[in-house]
Amino acid sequence: MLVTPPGAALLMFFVLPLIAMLLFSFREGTFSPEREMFTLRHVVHFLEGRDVQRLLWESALTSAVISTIAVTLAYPLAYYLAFGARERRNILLLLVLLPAMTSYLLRVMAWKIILGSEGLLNTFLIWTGVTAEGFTGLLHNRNAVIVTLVYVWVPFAALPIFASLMRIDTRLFEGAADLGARPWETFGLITLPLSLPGIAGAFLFVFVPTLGEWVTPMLVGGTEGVMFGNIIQDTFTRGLNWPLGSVMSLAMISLTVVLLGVPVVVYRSFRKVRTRVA
Amino acid sequence: MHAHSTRSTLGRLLITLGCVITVLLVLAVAGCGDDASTVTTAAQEGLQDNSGDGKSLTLLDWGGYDTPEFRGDWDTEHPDVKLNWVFANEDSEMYAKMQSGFQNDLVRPVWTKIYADQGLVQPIDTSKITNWGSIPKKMTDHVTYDGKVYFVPTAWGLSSILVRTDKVTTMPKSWADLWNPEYKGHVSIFDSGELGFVVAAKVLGFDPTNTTEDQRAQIKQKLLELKPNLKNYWSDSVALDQEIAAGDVWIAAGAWTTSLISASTNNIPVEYITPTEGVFAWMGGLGVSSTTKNYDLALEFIDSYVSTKAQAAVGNAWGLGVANNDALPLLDPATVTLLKLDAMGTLDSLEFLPPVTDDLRTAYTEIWTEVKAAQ
Amino acid sequence: MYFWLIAVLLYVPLLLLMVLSVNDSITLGFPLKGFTLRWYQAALDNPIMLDALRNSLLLAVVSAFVATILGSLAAMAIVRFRFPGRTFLAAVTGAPLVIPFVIVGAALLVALRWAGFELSLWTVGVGQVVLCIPLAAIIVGSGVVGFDQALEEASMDLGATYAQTQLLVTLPILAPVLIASFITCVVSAFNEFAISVFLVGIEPVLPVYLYSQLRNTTSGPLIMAVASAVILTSFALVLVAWALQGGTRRGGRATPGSAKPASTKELDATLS
Repeated sequence: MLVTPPGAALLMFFVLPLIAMLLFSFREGTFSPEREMFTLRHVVHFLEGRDVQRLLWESALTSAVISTIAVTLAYPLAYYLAFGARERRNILLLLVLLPAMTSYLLRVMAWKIILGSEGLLNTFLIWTGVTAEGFTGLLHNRNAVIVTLVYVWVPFAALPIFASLMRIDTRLFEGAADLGARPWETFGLITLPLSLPGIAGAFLFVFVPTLGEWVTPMLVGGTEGVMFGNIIQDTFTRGLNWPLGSVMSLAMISLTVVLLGVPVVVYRSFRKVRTRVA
Repeated sequence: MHAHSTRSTLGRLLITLGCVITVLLVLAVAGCGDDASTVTTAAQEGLQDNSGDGKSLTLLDWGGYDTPEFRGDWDTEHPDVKLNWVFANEDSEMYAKMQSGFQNDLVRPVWTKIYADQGLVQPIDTSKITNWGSIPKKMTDHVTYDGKVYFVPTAWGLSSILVRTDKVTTMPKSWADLWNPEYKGHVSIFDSGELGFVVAAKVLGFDPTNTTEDQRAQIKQKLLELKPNLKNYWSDSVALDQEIAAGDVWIAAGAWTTSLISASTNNIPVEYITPTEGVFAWMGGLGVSSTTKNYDLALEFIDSYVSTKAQAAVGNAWGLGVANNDALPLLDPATVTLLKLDAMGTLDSLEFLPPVTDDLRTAYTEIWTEVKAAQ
Repeated sequence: MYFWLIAVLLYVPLLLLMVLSVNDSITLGFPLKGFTLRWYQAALDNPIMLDALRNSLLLAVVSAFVATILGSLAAMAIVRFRFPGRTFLAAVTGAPLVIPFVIVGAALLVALRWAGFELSLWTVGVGQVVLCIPLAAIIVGSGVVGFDQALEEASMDLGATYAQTQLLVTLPILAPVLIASFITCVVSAFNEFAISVFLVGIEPVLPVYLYSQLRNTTSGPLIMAVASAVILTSFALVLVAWALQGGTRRGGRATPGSAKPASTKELDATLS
């Protein structure tokens, strides 16, 4: 049937690797066959590492901040595209998505150049006379990571919001206006609640991948901006400790699953609201 | 609706069962099959295999070492041998590649000992290296384990502290000075657990190759205390050079001589200090893989690489220390003075970073990870 | 207004890269020194760079092809049919996009190496396919959703077999979406970095190669040159993709709220 090829492919190359990773967590070492013994050593090591666990929580927090900002910035964008654009909608949507379709690595590199103490932003600020010497604290910290990742994600965050805004029946607006509602009331009582699934979707869409981010923190984060993804990547590629890396990855997945539960519940309850209204 | 849901639950059950069975099958196959991840230790019995066609050599190397001048007369002497270069950015990358059964002929790591321990490289028949006698003993000692030579040294370099003289009030004089609160937020350290570990050990007075658990805890604590001074970890010297030039980084710990040259070329006031605890030096060498089928050809390549001509080229291009004494007179005098390369005494006073073994590697990686994670 | 402000800001970093690629200075910074095309020339002279470029292109095209096929099949199945495990398939199809890439990459690394495979362009390809399947599924899915099945029924009423119908009716109508999905996957796979870096073997791949070059040689502007070329090419390809997709889109996109309830549920399921 239709299902078999994609199903098999995803099973083999997505589901199975995740399971393999789960099993690998219990292996003694990365390379030699002698190290295939079953051990809980790495799990214990991870559970005992307070700093690393705390970093996981903090990375989640940073991700949440990034997601919130990205969604907030993306919402007006999506709103304009859905309701303001009309005939030019497709072109404008394309315009927004285009930068996002180029290399992620290059976009982060660009921000590194922008935020540097002799970078674009400082050069601009000095040139306009806002400041004499420029700010040195723009790069190599958590703020730089947040700014860069928000930039990366805003176009992608706009998509789910746009999709859910498009689904709203415009007759609702007319009806509300007929009943005497002011624009803000219409927005707050109709548009916003009905687009909530899109907002939740956008939030998740940004949050989960950002949780595992390591490229941006490595390039612009300095010591302060280190995220859990860096530790995982370090453990795999520098530490060459795949079992420990697997344990860490699974810890991250578990956290994601737990955190995912909340928005899903929110989403389902608001879906019921929407079907009742429509 | 009800019937539909029971059907789909049953369906889901079947699919889950199918998955589980598939998993078990795959594991069974993988478990029984060859793990393909280590090279057989038969290599230790001096393989010296020459059954290959001699038409190509695959090298696992650092970026930039493929510059033609660095291999002397090789191209004219062996025009029909194709050189395949595979680059890695870090020792750990190289090591992982070879551990994964990568089929190469030559490798140029800095982590020399661990390759020998793991049977990844085979002993070198130094009688086939014509330039062997010109290589300083200090370097050859570093690559001789259990009386057998496993690598041919090809370059050495310094790992010290580069300072923006115009930015600091007090010049640092030792590794311990890195902790001076005056430099808060302006120190950058090489993103290698190895360097951090060795520096902290030295500052605390421990022997990095022989630490107790308690000592390691102290090392970790010391590194945590360094964090407030750090702006970032540097892993690519180009970015480091830019940050030094911009004045964001005042003190670069573990900086290489290339950074010194880069800053000097751009007229940036810097000084490459000699810390009181000692300057560290790294040494890289070419090793022959245990699985090579072109043993003699590989040795010929190595020989070309350590020839006088080639070594002079490396020294002049990158300001690295040469492995061939005969090349010293051919070096650009400015480079020689800048790096104090003139005396062999310089080499003897250097301390090579301890040879990396698997235990050392695990120890310092763990500590470094935890230090990085701590906020 | 706001929209234009953000839209412009989105492009500034990319313009910066392009400006630096023609800057006559070896450092990546200000002030600008002069116009030159020598970095582009240097990029063309670099055999490994060209190698990496070739590998990435080849890989991207093949991965996109495979992913589009698999994604389309999945999308068709999910949108049109009810079958046990449908939700599961939908979830698994969409999952690679919402799992941190570092985990997808690491998991594939562990699994493939454990099974005894060497890291090579094949393994990178696998990673790219896994990442592109959800993209393809969503894009093609949106086309399938708007597809009027009455056409298929009519075709079969007129005597065509199921296979013929699929080939001669469904495929041509879906062609724009398929091509759009293909091109989107090509661009995504070509630029993909976070997963490839785990799975790359001997042969270089462009994003990973750029990353390693950033760290070892003084080739900053050269990278900018390649970067600019990549950006412009990506732009061009995406433009083509969207021209195709936007041109023949029916149902659900003309005006807000005009989508049929049934199809929005499918879109919902595919998107979430």
